[in-house]
Amino acid sequence: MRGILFDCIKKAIAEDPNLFFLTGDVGFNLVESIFEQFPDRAMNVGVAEQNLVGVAAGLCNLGFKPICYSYTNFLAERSFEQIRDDICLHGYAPIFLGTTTGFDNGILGPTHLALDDMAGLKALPNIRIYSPSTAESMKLIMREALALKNEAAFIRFTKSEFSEGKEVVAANRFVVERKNVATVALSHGKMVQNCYKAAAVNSNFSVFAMDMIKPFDGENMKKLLNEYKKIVIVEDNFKSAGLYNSVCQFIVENGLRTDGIVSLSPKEIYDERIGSAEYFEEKNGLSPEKIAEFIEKL
Amino acid sequence: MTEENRNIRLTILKMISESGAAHIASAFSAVEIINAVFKSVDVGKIKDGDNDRDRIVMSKGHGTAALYAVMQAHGLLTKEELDTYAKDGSLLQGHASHHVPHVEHSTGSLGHGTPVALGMAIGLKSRKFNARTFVITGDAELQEGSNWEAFMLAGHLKLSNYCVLVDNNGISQMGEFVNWCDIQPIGEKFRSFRFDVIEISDGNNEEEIISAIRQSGRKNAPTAIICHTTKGKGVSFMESNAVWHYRPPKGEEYQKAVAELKSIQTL
Repeated sequence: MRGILFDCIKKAIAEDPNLFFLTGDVGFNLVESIFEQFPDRAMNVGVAEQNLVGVAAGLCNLGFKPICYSYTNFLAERSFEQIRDDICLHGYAPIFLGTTTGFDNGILGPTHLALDDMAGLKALPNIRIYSPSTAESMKLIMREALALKNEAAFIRFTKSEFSEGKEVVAANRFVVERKNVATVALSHGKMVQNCYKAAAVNSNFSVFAMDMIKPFDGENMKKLLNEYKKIVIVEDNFKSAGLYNSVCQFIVENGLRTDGIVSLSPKEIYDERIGSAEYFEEKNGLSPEKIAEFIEKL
Repeated sequence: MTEENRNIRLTILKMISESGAAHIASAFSAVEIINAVFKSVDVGKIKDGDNDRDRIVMSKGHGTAALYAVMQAHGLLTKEELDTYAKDGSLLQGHASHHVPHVEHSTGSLGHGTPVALGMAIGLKSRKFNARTFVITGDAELQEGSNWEAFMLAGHLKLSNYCVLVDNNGISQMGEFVNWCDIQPIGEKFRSFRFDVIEISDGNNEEEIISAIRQSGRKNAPTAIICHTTKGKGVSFMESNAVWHYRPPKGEEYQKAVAELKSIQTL
């Protein structure tokens, strides 16, 4: 996904003189050529995420559209107030690219996990949140984000590679659509691939990727509620800070049915143990096998 | 004190007394700094919104009554607009707001304006504009770590178009902060961050600040102009008294403050 992302970025910067690339000292062996090709529109601001976002706001004032790259958790949480005050309050439209999500950095410990990054961001006006599940989805989302004029975009993406093997026409779409099944796994980001793999061993459900988290896609949600008795929201972030929480708000506000809505997500704890992403996914019931099993038992 | 800056203080006094807003002493402290900056830039370009204009960022956003009063003196706001300050429905809130025409950036939470102004300075260079960025910060504001992230990068980049003006009045919300978290020596700190440092012993002397701004930006480095000011400058009972960080003068206090300001022998 990162390969495709940086191809998009390099092409976009070459075409649009108002794009400005900023990194918080992240992107070894990925970003160097941007600095070489565009020395006046690319900068490593160092390990300083608050400054990264503040500088981005200043660049917006000059008419630039900054693309800011760092780890998801540092970008969303260390510099949260800068995103709120200096970006969203002003209606600026930078693109925030947060690398690694969920348990991608499991062996680095809880400071490096992105389980709660969307909690604050979801409450902010003037920002979209994307959680691309595939390289093709990332490409489409980048196109959308580059076109935004008065809204920022926060794109949080997994290190894990996954492709549907076809172009996607919308960030929110069926990845596996089956007729005459009662259940749909509604997911985003890395968990879409786990659901996809789970669907290969359990043929009793569909998989819908909701890679655009905010604004909430009520239209597709209503269709899913009409078509499926059970909706399992599968995500590798805390349910209070993600899609499940948005779904709950939507159905309550719209007086829709609340039965059959289930969350499959990590326990809301900071685990004292470390391990690979697969270790944590297994532990939290998010491995493909566990997802298949969970849905089978519904 | 010049007659103009005395009159600006009278305007601020009226704005704050009528609205019951806070931060009168913070505003009085910074009048000369802000006015000196506006006198050093091309206000016409600011008025026209030219992209190659100088940028002025009020990082100590709580001193915004002074910013607005000075802007009015430079024809960037009307008296009628000022009369709405901190009143229901007004755009002129108690902290700087970009919804007010010609205000570059909204501030309030401290330590935000300096990185944003740095981004503006970087953007001006990138666009090959000769304009500069002036950011006005408070001394206690410098306790926020985000400032030093910005200063570290500004020094590294040798950004001569980045000028920080420090309103060094020594008093924060709770009083003399030398007693709990001293930030001195500010000058040495900026020097160690590769800034050209100019210290002004009377930071309420507008001419000296204008002269410092004229000198600045010539070296291959960003500039810090440290203005040793008096919080509440101009009204004896407000000077260096932390109570007036928040308290708006009412009734007799207001009349007394007006009388004091009017009795000042202006330059």
